[in-house]
Amino acid sequence: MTVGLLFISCVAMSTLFLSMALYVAMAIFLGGMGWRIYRWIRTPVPLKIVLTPGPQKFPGVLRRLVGELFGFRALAKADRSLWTPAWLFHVSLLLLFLGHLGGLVIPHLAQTTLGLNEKQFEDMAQVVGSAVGLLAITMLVWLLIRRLLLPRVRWISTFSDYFALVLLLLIIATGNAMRFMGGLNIIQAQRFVAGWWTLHPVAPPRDPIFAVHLLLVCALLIYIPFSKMVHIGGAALFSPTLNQRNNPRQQRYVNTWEKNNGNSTASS
Amino acid sequence: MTVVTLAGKQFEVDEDGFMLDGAQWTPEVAVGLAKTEGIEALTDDHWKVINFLRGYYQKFNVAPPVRMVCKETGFSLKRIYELFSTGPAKGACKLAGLPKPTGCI
Amino acid sequence: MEIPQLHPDAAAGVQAYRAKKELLAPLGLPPELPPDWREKALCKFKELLQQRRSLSLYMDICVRCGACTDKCPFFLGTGDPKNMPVARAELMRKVYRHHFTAAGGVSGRWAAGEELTDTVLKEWFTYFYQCSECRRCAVFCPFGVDTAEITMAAREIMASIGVAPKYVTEVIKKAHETGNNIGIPEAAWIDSCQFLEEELKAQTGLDIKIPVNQAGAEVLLVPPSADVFVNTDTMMGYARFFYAAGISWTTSTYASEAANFGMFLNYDQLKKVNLRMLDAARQLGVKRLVMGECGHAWRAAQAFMDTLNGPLDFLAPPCPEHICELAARYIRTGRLKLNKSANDGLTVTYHDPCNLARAGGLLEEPREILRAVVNDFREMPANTIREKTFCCGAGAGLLTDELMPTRMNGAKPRMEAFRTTGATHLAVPCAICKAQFPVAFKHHKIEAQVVGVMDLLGRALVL
Repeated sequence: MTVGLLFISCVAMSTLFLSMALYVAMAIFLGGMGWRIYRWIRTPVPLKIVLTPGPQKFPGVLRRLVGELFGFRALAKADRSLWTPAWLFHVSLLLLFLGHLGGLVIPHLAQTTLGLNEKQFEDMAQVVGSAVGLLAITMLVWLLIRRLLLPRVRWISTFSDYFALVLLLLIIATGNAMRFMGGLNIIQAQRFVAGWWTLHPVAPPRDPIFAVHLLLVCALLIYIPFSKMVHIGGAALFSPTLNQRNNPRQQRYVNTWEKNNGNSTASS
Repeated sequence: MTVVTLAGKQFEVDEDGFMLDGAQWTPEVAVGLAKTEGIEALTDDHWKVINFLRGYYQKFNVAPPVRMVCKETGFSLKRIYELFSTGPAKGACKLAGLPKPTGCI
Repeated sequence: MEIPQLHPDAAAGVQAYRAKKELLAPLGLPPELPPDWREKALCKFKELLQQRRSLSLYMDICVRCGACTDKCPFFLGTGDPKNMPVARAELMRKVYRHHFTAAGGVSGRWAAGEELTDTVLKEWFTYFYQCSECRRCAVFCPFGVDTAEITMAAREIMASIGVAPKYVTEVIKKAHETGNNIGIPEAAWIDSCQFLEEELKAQTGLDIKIPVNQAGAEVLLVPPSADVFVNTDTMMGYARFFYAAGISWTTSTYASEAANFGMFLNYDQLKKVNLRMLDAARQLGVKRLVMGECGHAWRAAQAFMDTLNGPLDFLAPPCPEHICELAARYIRTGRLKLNKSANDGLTVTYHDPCNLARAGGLLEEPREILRAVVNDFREMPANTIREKTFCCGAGAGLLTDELMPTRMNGAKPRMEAFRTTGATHLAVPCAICKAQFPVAFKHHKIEAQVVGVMDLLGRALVL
């Protein structure tokens, strides 16, 4: 297996293959997510069905959505032993995303904003990145073990549930491997990323793990819009039970498809 | 459609054993239906309830309110449940040849 | 309560009786399963996906995290894994994935898709009629996935190919024919109300009226018809309240039913049944519409009436109003004289009907009334009341004898919570709960009685 991966990554590094793969994956990701979100928004909400007691005014709706998006409040009510790994995992994923953004996409801006010199910045990235990476892995393993050991959750699990966990696990493991083995030339990586997003692709760092890491990320990007991972599009934001005011008696709610049908019943 | 034989005649009943055509009801049929409710013999008290139910149904085309059954027969609800273990709206109506009352009851 | 072990297929054998053509045809449904039912069902599925964001979103976003798996009373009672909300929804999602997603077409069973077959249809009819649309699972879902809406959609798809329960369709048919679910004709309604007036006279010595079809009354009260048939203390409670409050009111024989079983079948019937009470309000020229003690009636009226059949501007706000809101308002403003000791000797606890609490936001008013009229009022454990309330086990068309095993299992969490209070009386403003609990008490060997909130208020009113 290792030999195979090495072979693939050698092929990958020898050309602009990695950059191209990332363009394709990103296009599929953005297009797919856009299409999904457009479809959700376009679909009407015929009846006002809000989870009550629900907020009657807009600030209340905002609080509810913020609480769900950033605090996973419903999940906290449901099961603390699920909330803990789920929340910590998502937080570490967010931090890793921000870390990649700051360390690879806008390193100079990030460094000057934080008021650090190059050495300090790199040391910080090393320490924080490694810690968060380890945290993410721990939480993923916790979630995986929970899925395998808790009979109720195991019963409902499908291939895609395990696939998603394992894919994320591999991505973060390869990411951490680069840090711990110290093989990655960060300057090369920054150059690669800068070239990529300014549409002037350059050769990637000569590190097979980097290639594997990046290809797995491509796989994830392609997978997201077509699987349950689509929830990263902000599922709670679009959920009619959460994003509406609960005021059907104060303000008349109109069913758009009935209005369009001249108020005749659409179903028979 | 289920067909049962009671008092030597055949009747159509619904899934719960209620007669589909109450016009075919006779006291003998009630005796036969009583067996399906686990009642061995029909006493005067049973008949008092059955007769009231039938009279009311013939007049109003619906079973009477439970409170009225108690009032008119002089039986407590507890007593009616002793007579018909599934209660006035189930067992008693079944024996009286009424359709099964339905709704939130 | 204790979370059961998984018992696959424990509830698979419990199924509602299927409606036959004499019940299906009058509701505009195919009288029997059409030969091309698969295509028709999928076509309806597609239509609903395009019409309801909730359905389309909830098909996509569930991550099967399992937060809901121990929240459903029917799972807690039966241990059948398909009664876990996520698994119930997956019955529909697997068909969605197979027929409506790219992944389902490309990767077949890896995408956990399944073709709509006879077996799947049977599974749908079993398990979507073991969901009481109580929405307890939704409270705990990180995305607010509302299994009730999935159940409603599945039932609507089944109805469109003539697959519906006898109980639900029979009740809707009666509501169209007689104005109420029990099938009480006008003459019987009038006779019953007169009978209850006599009872009130015997109890109080006063001429307390239960008016019928009285044009020009201020309030049209729409009770569940069960309040005239079995829960007559509740009906007399309304009468006592209106008498004490000095409000002119009436019932209607055209809309003698608050309940809306259309909600348990399809949108079309939800709308049609709902319209009756507005037509009655117009005919009688009343100023206000007040709903009686019925759970899902409140949901259908409070949340949907204006959308379905509005605008309601010919009635005074709040429209509709719940009888508990009205009564609590009168208590709050000191307009009722109450004698709490009339309910002494009763230890009362309150069951939040799911449709009042979780779908209707009616949490405080019934409690306000109970605190005002009962000396010994206590609550059940916090995770079993208010928006976390447990269903009685018989909502959404499950209150029929052939589903008794599921009903009794579904009632288990509520019964266990009740047991902890030591109460003698369970107050509940919902006709379905009122019909279910006495049977459930007996089954779970609990000595207690069920009362309406308005029954207790009626007793405490100084007239």
